[in-house]
Amino acid sequence: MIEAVYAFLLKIFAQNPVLYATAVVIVMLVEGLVLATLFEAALRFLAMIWRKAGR
Amino acid sequence: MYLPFVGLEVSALLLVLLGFAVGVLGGFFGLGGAFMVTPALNILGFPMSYAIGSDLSHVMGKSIVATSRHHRFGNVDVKLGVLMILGTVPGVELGKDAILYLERIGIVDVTVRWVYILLLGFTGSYMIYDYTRFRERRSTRERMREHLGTVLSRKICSIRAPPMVALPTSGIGAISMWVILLVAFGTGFLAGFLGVGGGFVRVPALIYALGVPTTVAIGTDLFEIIFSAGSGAFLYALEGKVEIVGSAIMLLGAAFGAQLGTMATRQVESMSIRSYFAATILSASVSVLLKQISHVYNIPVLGQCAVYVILGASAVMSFIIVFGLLKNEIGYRVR
Repeated sequence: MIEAVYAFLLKIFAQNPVLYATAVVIVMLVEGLVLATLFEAALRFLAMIWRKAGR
Repeated sequence: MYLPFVGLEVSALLLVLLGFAVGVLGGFFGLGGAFMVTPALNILGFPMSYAIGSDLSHVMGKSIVATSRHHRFGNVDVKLGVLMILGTVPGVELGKDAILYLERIGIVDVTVRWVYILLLGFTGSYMIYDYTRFRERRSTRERMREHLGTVLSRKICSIRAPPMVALPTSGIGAISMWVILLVAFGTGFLAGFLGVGGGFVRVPALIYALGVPTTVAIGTDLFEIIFSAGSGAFLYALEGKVEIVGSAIMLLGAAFGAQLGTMATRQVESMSIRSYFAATILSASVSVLLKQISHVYNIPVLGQCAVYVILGASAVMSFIIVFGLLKNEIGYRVR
């Protein structure tokens, strides 16, 4: 599977480097936002459990 | 796993752990952490330009995570950050051109390593000196003066070159916009040249040159790193110098670490953060120095030592920060 991803990326880069560079930035941006949201949700969940355990 | 862009076999777990360790350091110190990741990737076998490009892309993602949390803590001066971005972007472009030129004439690795060694060594040594001087000051009154900035920052703030801007979040009444842009341009050049977000230069510059409080310098720097590293990643990707899958894997660990590092800044006093910061960048400087000696005198064992120094220092400092955070959090809950 990873080979297919690389083949796709190389094809994009060969055809349009600007598109490839934009894709790199967007992938990192989205991954960062998703991970930040997941962590925030995990913290809220843990805090909720902590509060319930404290009662 | 095999990374075809750089033609290397690298452990994915190692990339995640490296990401986590520098994520903690990044969130805690306000750095992209590239000063450790770029040499580490280079030591792992990435050519320097790929190490820089891949690092810049993962730094951008990690900085988004850390900035969002610092913003919640009120540590981000958006106005200062935007002004810094305006000066940084042309600096990054010039730095990237310089590195590609050095690559063409075949002296990129040695030049980048020496700039790393000297810059990290000087900055770290000065911060250690500043910290020991601070510890020697016994009186509360003298310590309180730290909040008024440094001698240098007071002189810089007294420059009256209009337009002047006020930075209330940073506690600065009025400062020339040109001074901010100049600092940003210089740090941006280094970011593009060394493949770093510029944090290890910018955080001390914000603290010592502009007089910004440490935690605000950290948060604002991370805010700016999103854009400086983003533009750097874009420019390197245009040249095909980004190993995107490797970057994405590192970001998995870095995002988690950055959250923990950011939370830890609330548990430690400002001057202690500076001393940890100095120790970290000094160890990075030693590591790159070992690598350089190994390269020049053909002593492979020193090259291996460089790997252990940089990864060991990164792991130990991250452990100290995470352990301190957990200890304080648990202690607080128990009380």
